[in-house]
Amino acid sequence: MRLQRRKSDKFACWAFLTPTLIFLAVTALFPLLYSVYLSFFRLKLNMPNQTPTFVGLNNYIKMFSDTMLHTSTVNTLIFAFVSVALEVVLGLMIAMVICSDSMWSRVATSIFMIPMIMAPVAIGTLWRMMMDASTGVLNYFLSFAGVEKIQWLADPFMAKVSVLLVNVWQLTPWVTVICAAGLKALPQDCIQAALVDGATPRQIFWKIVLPLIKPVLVIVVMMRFTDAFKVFDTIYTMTNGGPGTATEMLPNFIYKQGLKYYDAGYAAALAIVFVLTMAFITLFFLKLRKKEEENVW
Amino acid sequence: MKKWIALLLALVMVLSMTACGASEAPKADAPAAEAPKADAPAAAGLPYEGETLTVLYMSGVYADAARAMVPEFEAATGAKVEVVDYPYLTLHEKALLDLTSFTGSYDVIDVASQWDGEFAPFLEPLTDYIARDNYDMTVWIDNVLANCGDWQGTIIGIPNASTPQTFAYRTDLLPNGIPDTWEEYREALAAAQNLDEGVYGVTVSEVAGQLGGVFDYVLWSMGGNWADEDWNVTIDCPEARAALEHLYALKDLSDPANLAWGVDESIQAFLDGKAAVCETWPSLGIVQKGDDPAQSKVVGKWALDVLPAEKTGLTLLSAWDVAIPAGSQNKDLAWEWIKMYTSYEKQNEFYDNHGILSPRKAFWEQEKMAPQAAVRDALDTANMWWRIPASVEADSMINTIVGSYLSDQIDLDEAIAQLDAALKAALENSPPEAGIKNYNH
Repeated sequence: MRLQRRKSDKFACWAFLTPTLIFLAVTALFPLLYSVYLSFFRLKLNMPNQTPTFVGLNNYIKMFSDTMLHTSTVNTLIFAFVSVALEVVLGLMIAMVICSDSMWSRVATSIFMIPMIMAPVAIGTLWRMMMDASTGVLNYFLSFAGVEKIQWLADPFMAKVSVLLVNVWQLTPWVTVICAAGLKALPQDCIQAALVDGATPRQIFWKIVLPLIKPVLVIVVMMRFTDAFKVFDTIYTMTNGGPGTATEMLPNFIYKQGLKYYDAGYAAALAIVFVLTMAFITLFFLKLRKKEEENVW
Repeated sequence: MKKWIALLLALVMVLSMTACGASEAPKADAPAAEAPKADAPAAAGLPYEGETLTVLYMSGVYADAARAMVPEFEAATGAKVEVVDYPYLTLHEKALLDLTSFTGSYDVIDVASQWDGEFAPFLEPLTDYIARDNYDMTVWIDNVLANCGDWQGTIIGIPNASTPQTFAYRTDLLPNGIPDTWEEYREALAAAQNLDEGVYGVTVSEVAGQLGGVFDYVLWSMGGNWADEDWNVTIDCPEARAALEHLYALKDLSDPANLAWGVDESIQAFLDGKAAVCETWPSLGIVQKGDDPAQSKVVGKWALDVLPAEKTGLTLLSAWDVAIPAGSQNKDLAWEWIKMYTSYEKQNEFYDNHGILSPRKAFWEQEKMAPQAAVRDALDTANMWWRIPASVEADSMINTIVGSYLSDQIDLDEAIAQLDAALKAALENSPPEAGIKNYNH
């Protein structure tokens, strides 16, 4: 009787799961496998009647000599490392300040959420207007402090700084919210014991709070890092990768190969390498988190 | 019982998903879809009652004009019209994805003429419609039609807008207009520049996506080209170097922010009286706002002129043609839309209300167009860059490389070397079909 019940439960489980599995296979697995397949072929979608030509690993080998890819990779790495570092440091600092259940803290949190909930395209467009060196409000306000006109978007270095600043402005609140939740969940008895023992606030932060919140920070860094690698909309609307190649990032580069030049094979190869890199980065962070959790507990 | 309900639900979900399979797409080399119905447009009453037409335009004046025409078209045909628009930067991908997949999401697409050759295999040839309705193709300016709508002898679109690259200039600062050589031009800009009053010599749209065209017209007027008629890349030439050096020299005569400016910003700077010359598309703002005191500080103090002729006098042509995708299910209705949108009356109306310059010869013969004789003349010689599938990649790379040079990321030699390599790569990636020559030579 029990065996029959177990069998029927198993059958019901699979009956419920099957549609989802089929749906995932059709919408996620099949396109992924097809991309892998496509990456070994040369296929220009804008050329009529063209059939895919097998080119082996050529699309992958091409990456080694593609200078534009190298430039966009370096740009993306700089962008990801600097923006994530700034966001985590700033986010944690702000979280420490607003981490309470008081009224002002809730109001401040709500205000901080605004950049996070805005559409990236709107953010890019607004900042592009505000950062215009001649007509933008940013230089206008800076002029009161005697600051000379800054070419936010026309100078290659400043354009890099500008897209970084906008990203930090947009996503530091997200880090703040997560860190604040992590801080609230910290065991208060440790902190109170440290206070009783005469620990200074600095010592409490470095010796208690930071080690305890590390697992949360690892997750925050992982999510922000993988997200930073995928940055597209804001930069597309702010600079479209310019001036020259100053703000050209990997997603914009892959987008151009796939949807502007219609080079499906090369775009697929790039996407596969990109996904694999992201997967390795995620795995690294997950292992790090596990290690940190083991250290904490 | 629960088990059976679960099984039934699962079965229904699986069946509903398999029912969503796509229908077979027509092949690109298939013969042109069904011939136009001879009696369709002539039917009495409202012949297209209940049908829906979806038209795709670039955002801005062209889409605005289309929307303004919708009520009249719906009243005449009984059909419903949906106008979809995207900015220039994303229009190409939206249109081409639909065309290559034959999904038929759009019944009419307004095609930028540089995409004609790339889109042609996926567009309906209009030859049968033109013959059926005795549609007069001689009304169009010959040079515009040759560069826009006519692809290798087949009409794939009807021209509906054409603008040569002209310069708007301040008549009080440059009373003799635009000089004949680039060197004289730079001297005139330097003389007109007055930084104490916040007036620069020139405002140019140099953001990625616009800068390539700026480089092109300077290069062409100097006698240079991307490639010869057999597609041998010729960009490594003295003219290309001179064109790049000219653009670099303009940095001292323009607002440093120019490198980040699009068409809107550069036009606004001119309208605000902050530049003696505006190198941009006049129909995208200056024509409409230039003499409106509420929007312009240069009312009565500006005019249009052709750019310095230098050696060839060639300028860049921006032209659009309305075409019918091969995958459209409403081709007859689409043709009716095209006829109305490109009619003399509508083209005139579009100029009056939206500032769109028509490619019709008769449009320019009106008295109201006399002040723009220079623009009309330029339409006879204005040129478009490659119209083959390699065009988008080539143009995109030129934008990036010239931008890198102007922002001091690479030097002149490196810029020329990169341009040469980029054009060769674009041609290798998307080679032109056999027999197609580079007419831009």
